[in-house]
Formats: sequence, structure tokens, C-alpha cells
Amino acid sequence: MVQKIGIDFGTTNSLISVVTLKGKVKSFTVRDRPHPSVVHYEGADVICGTKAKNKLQQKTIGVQGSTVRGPKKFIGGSDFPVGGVLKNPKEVVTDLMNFLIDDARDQDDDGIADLKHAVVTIPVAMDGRGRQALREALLDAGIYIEMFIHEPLAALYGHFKSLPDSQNELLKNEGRMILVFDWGGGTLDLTLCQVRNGSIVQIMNRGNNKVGGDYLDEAILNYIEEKHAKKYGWDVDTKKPRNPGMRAKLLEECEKAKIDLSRRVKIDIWIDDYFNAEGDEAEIEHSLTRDELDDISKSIVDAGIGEIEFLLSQEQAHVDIQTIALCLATGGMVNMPIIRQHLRELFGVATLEVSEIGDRIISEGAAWVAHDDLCLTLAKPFELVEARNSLLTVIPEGTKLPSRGYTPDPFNQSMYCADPRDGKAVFTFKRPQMVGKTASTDRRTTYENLVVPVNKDFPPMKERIDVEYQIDENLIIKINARSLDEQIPEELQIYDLEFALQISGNTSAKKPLRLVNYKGEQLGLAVRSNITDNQNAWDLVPGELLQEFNKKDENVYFKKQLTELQKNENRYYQLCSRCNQKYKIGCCSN
Amino acid sequence: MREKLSSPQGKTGSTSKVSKPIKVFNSMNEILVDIFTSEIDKKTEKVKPLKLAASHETAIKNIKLNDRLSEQEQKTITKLVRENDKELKVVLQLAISAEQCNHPKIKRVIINLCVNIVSSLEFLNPLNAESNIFQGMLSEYKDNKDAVGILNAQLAKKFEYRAEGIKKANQVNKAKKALKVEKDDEFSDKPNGMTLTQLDSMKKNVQALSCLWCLEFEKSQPDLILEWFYKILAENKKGNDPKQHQSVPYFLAKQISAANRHSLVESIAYFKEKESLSKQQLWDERQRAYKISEKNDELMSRFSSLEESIELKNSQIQMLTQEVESLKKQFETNVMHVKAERVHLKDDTGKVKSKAINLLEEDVLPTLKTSLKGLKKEEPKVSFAVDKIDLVIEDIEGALQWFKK
Repeated sequence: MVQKIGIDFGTTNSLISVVTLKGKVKSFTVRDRPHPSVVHYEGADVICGTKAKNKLQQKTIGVQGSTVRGPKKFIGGSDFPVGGVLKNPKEVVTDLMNFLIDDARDQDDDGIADLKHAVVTIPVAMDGRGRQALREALLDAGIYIEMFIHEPLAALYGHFKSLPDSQNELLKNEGRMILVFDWGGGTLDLTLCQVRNGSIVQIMNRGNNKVGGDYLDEAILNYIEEKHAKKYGWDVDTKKPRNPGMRAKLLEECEKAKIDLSRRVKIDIWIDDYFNAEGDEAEIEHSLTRDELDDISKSIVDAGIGEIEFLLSQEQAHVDIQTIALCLATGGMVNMPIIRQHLRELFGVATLEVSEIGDRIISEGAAWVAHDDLCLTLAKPFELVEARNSLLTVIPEGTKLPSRGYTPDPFNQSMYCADPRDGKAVFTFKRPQMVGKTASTDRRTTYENLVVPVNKDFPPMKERIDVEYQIDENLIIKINARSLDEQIPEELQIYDLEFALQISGNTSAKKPLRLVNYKGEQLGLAVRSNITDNQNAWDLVPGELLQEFNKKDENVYFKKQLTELQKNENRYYQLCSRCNQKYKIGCCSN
Repeated sequence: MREKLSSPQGKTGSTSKVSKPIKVFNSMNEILVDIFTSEIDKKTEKVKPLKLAASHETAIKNIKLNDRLSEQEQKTITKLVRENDKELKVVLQLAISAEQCNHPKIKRVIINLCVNIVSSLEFLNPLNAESNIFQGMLSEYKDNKDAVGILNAQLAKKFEYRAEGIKKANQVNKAKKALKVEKDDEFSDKPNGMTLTQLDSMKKNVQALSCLWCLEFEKSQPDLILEWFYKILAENKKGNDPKQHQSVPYFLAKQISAANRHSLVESIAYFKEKESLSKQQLWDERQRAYKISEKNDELMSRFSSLEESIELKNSQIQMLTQEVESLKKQFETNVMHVKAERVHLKDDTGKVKSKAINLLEEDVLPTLKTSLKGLKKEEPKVSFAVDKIDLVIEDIEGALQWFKK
């Protein structure tokens, strides 16, 4: 039986892997390395991978002449010019995927891989449009996406599966916190996970795309060029231009030096005819020491390490670093001695696990997910804030998420506005900050607010608002709402959900519930939800509004009893009976 | 001359027989006219019932081969019959006596005449469309061999319908009587003014005639005809009273001196023969049934043994199919395993090859080239070259370690 594949579509590199019947992974590499995510256009010809990378002058992500490096960054965006021709990012991704599939087909002369069905990894931050565009691009390349999976989850599952007894390793880590630390050429991605009931659950994510390894290479290059300019007394005006192709060469040397300095304290860099100058001025010659590298990289490294500390801080995950049972470090940057040293200091030698297959662990993880036919579930409940800050679970945690062949039906909810005076019903969607901490007192993170126009002349709790929720196969929650009188449709898409990789087989969604006395945002001006799903919850209506409602002749038979809170609320808007002034602290006491 | 009630030549006015001289009949017409002409009893002054006398039977027997009735004569006879033999008793007797005819053709002529008389009955042949009503009734069932059954069933229907008519007329008459209304011709049972009993008698006679017609013109099997005779005779008889069997010997004793005893003997002989034939047939059938049963048992035992063997074979086939399937699967799995093995071997080889190429192309060659270039400079970059070569050696050593693993 042929096996579905796993695809790691990375910004810098991309790779296809498959699990064979031997229970081992075969990755379709080029010279035992992933394919560079680079696409070069020469007229009608499309060149991808290493050959396209060799055409690059710079290491930056983006379009360089007729070459696109890291098309993933552009997916879901609008057309951009490549070599003078407008191209859609989706088209570029399709070209790269066609190349990867063709290469895999060439290598797979035994036909072990089902190259039409794939589990595809995506970065945590990829938005809905990006996911949809990626799905379409892959479909154009003849690949059906079985399931999207976040890169860190795939990497962690790949790590567990690479261990001799993965089942036991998972059991050993039950209930423990794991940090997946992917510091590559483009970005630093941090994901805090936990093994819960045999599933790998995403707790919190954090990313920084300004501390990638490519920035460091550029920084080293700039440092060497500056040193050279200083040596020969060049200033902005007398600075000599580089000879063609030399910048790429020096960048390559810088990258090499960065790696070699992990085993040496000093690396000599010498490139002849670098500048368009005479004599020694033309050649770059510098002995780069480890100390110098540490100085150059300090700001980047500090920023990266700082991200870990911030993620685990009280404001964020509020997790003691000592409770981290495993820090899985992947990406090229973790080979730098200074970074390794920082990580060792933070987590300890036993906890830090620098993956030896860092360049393919995500792809292998995706292949294992495809092979084991795993599914994703929602890691945290998807909650709606009702008027007066009670929380209503809309989609419970543990809900099985769509994959190819399984799309749950949309479901509807009828809501009512407790305070329609401003003509707006405010829906605020939240999730608990931590997995398993879903009490009303636990902290919440806001996804987004959805404002639905309602008829402001309607009495409270009267105009119905129909809300439809659907989770699509791109793992995006689509919310459509419309009030029955105002009839203005509003849509909201939420894509930054956190997932759990269900490994144990039995999925069980928790029961939806309503939590009261949620404290809500403590500081600053906040948008307050004014909706509820209970048409008779008159206690949620602001006191002054309910008083006004009761006063109207037309409501003489529908008068509602005010709660103490509502009575007080009403009083705030009354003029003082003594001084006839508006409410103020210490009114007429002086 | 005799005083006749009706003249054979269609003469009108009433005539009655006055004396009984020895009758001499010169033609079939004369015989028939005599038979169906009624006489008045001088003593009682009542009309004597018609009777087929011995002289008539003798005369019928001796009817000449070429003696035929003209159309007018037939009409006259029919009219006489309709007037004097309402139940068609004598018509049936005439048909029966035809059996004695010296010439079989004459027999058929007489039976046909009887059928023509029946065909003149309006309720059986309302439009007078058929001269032979039996022929007409069978015209729709040419392929059906049970002509006697069809005729009797159709006749029964028609008589039943007629009986219903008489019943209704009776009811109307009763009602009129009760209201003292004078008899209205419109509602009377004018055609015959028959009672239901008379109609039933007529029905039996007509049915018997139909059986004789079928027999004579070979329209049905004699057995079927006999069966119908039995049905006609046994109609309205309630069940078989065993005591009644005792009357049979008395009946037979009575027949010893009867003139037509030879017919009875013939009937009994026929039924005896039939019985022995049936017994023989029964015996043969039993023998055959026994043989068939034996054969059946043998075949059944062979069938069950074959079934058992089929079941066995089927289970064997199933087992073998399963075995083939599992072997197929095993084979496929083995192939896939071999493929996987080959893939990983190729992958390992590829890794080694890649490592070697990467080392040489990316680390060794460019470094050596740069080092050489540095050494070739006017001011050789010795320190740089040494450093680089040292790194290359380190790379090669590291790679060698990896290759050895």
C-alpha cells in the first residue's frame, strides 16, 4: 500500500517525506538536503530548488529579478512583478510544488509514496487567505491536502516518532510542558505544548521574524565590509562598489564561518577581487573570532532568547521554566555555540534536545501524521462573552477538526441584544490562555470582536440575531451573523486557533457550558459584549435602559423587575435629589 | 280418419285421436307429427300427455336413409313441440330413441332436429341467430376440448337467468293479485307461462340433449359426457345416503323384464369395464409411483451426498480463496517490504554519496581553490591557506568517521 506524504513547505526550504512499510522515513532530498524554496523564471522555463538558489545574489526573502525566494511569505497576497511579469504567489507556489513532486516521483521509482495526498505543515501565523491560497496552489499541482498541521506540532510528533520507543516516550511526558524552539534562517517560532491524555496539545505560540539566521549572516557581512572600509579609510563617498556576484560569495563565507566558529575560535575569511578597487583594497581579508561573532549576534540572540522568557513569563503562559520537561530545538541557528550555551543555561543539558534532523523533522513529522492517520482537535474552548461578562462555550475543547473527507456541519445560534441603543450588538470571542484552565477566574485571550448592526429602536432582548459558525478544512472558524430586522450581514474569520494532535484515537469533546462572573479586562477602555442567547435574561439589560423600558406605556403589561445592580445602574444617571447635579464622587457632601 | 289436435301439415284447428288403429308411418314427418300431436282422453276429456310409443320407436328405427324433413315440416314439428311438449321430455326421448335407428345418419338427423327445436327457445336463442344453438355456443371455444362442459355451463347460466325472470314475474303477479288488478299481458310470463319446476325439468332435458349431441358429433370425450350425465342426474340430490344403495338391486330386478334392459346391461358392463380399467390404472399408477418414489429416494440420497460434497468443496474453495488472498496480501506486503528495504538502501547510499559530494564540492574543493589562489598571490596568504587546509583536513577526518560508521 502506498503511503500518503508529508510536506514541509518552508520559507527557506521545502521537503517531502514518506513513511515506508519498514516504519522508517524516506525524505526526497537533494544531496541529502531539503530543496531550497526558490523559484527562478527564464522566459517560459521554470527553475526551482538549488539551481534557482544559485542564481541569487542576496539571502533576503523576496523577489530578486526573476527569482522568488520564500514564496510562502507571499501566499494569499496580491500579484507581484517577477522579472517584469506579474505573477500570482499561488502560481509560484504551484511551480515549486510541481518541482518537488516531480523530483519525488523521479526518486520514487518503487512507487512507495502516494504523491497525490499529503499532510501539509503551515506556520502558526498563516492566516485564512494564506491557507486557502496554499490549498489551491497544491491542488493545481495535483496534491489533495488531507490535513493542515502547525509546524511545531509536526516537529514534536516527528521527534517522538524518531525515538526508539515513541509510545513510551509520550507516556513518560504525560502532563509535562514541552517547548518547541525553531530558529531557522527566516524566523524564530516558539510553541509551548503539553502532552495531555496522550495528545500533543498546543498551549501558546510566539514568533519573531526579525531574528532569523539570514539577518545574522547579513549582519556578519556588514561587519566585515565595515571593518574593511575602516581599514582602508573609506567613507560613504569613497566607498568602492562590489564586483558582481561577490556579495553572495561573501554571504556564503559568512554562513560557513558562523558554523565553523562552533569548533574554532577564529576563522579567516579572504575573497579576492571583492571590490572594484586596486591592490589589497580589492580583496576582503578578515579573521573573524568567536568573540566578534558573539558581539555581532548578541542583539539577535538576546532578542531570540528573550522571546522564550517572554513566552513563559507571568503575562503570557505563566509557566516556570523549571517545569519544562523538554526543549526541542531545531533550525540552523541552534548550532551556534552562543545560542546553545544560552539554551543550556535556561533549560539544562537534560532538557535541551537539539534535533540532529532539524532540517527535516517537520516534514518527517507530517509524514508520520499522514501515516498514523491522526486527527486534530481544538485545544481550548472557543468562547463567546455574553453581556455582564459571562462566558458561553460555543465550540468545546476536544472538538474534532475537519480533515479531507470530514467536514462538520455548520451550526446556528440565536442571540439577543441586551442594549441595542447604539445600534450595535457586540460579540467578543475568547479562549482561555492555558489549556485545561477554563474556570471563570482563569485568564482569557481575545480572538476578535464582531459587531453586528441592530435596530436601535427595538426594545432590549427583542431583535433576534442569527449567528452561524463553521469550521472549514483550512481550520478557520467562519462566523456569519445577521440581525433579523436590520439584515446587514457581518462575517468574521478566526484562524489563530490552537490545536491538539489526537494520538490516542478516541476524541471526546467536552460539554459546552456557561461560566458566570468572568472578570474580563481589568484595565483600560474595553469593548463590552451586549448579547445573550437567553431571550428572557432581563437581568443583563443595563438598569437605566430597563427603567426606561418599564416607563413606556406600550410596555405597561411587560414591566420587568430591576435587580439591585440594575437599580444602582439606573441611579448613576439620575440627578442628585439634593443638589440636582449629575453623579460625581462626594456629591453634595461638602 | 283420426281426429287430430293438430295436423302434421301445419293445419290449423284442433283435432283429436278417436281410435287406435295400427299405425303405419310412411315418413319421418308422419312419425314426428304423431309423436308430438296430443290426444284427448275421451273419458276425462283432458289432453293426454305425450308419449313415445313402441310403434314410434319401431318406426324411428326403420326410417329410411334418404328420408328428410322439409323446412316447412321442421317448422311445423317445432311448433307442435312448443305447444305440446313444454318440458321437452319427449324431445329427449326422441333423441334417445334415435340410437335404435338402422342408419347412423338418420340418428344424427333426428338429434339435429331435436337441437333445432331447442334452438327455437327464445330465452336460449333470443335473436334466433343460430339454427344450432350448441354449435353457436361452442363457436368461441374452438380450441377447448371440453365442449360438453362449456355447453352445460352456458346452458345453466341461461336457465338460471330465465328462472330469475320467472321469479320476478311471479312476484309481480302476486302483487297484482293482492291489489286485485286485472292481469296485464305486458307483465305475464307469456312465452311459456312455465313454472320453475317445469323450467328445471326442461333444463335437465336440454342438458341431457346437449350431452347426447356432443357424444354423437364427437365434441367431447365419452368419459366427460358420462360425468355430466351423472351431474345432471344427481343435481338437487342431497349427499349419498348409504341406505339408498339397497334400492339398486330392486331397480336392477325391475329391469329384468324391461324392454331396454340390454342398454342397462351395456351401461353396467361399461362401468364395470371402466372400473376394472381404473383399478388396473390405479395399480399401474401405484407401481409407477412406487418406482418413482424409489427412484426419488435414490436421487435424493445422491442429491444430499452431492450437496454435502458441494458444501465441502465450497468450504475448501473458501479456505483456498482465503489462503490465496492472504498469500496475495503477504506477497504484496513482502514486495512492499522489499521495495521499502530497497528504498532505504538506496537512500543510505544516496546519503553517503551526497555527503561525499557535499564535502568535496562545498568544503574541500572551494577551500582548496581559495587557498591555492591565496598562495599564488604576490604576497602569498600562507596563514589563511594553512588555516583553511587545516579546516579541510578536519572536515575530511569528520567525514571519514561518519563514513566508517
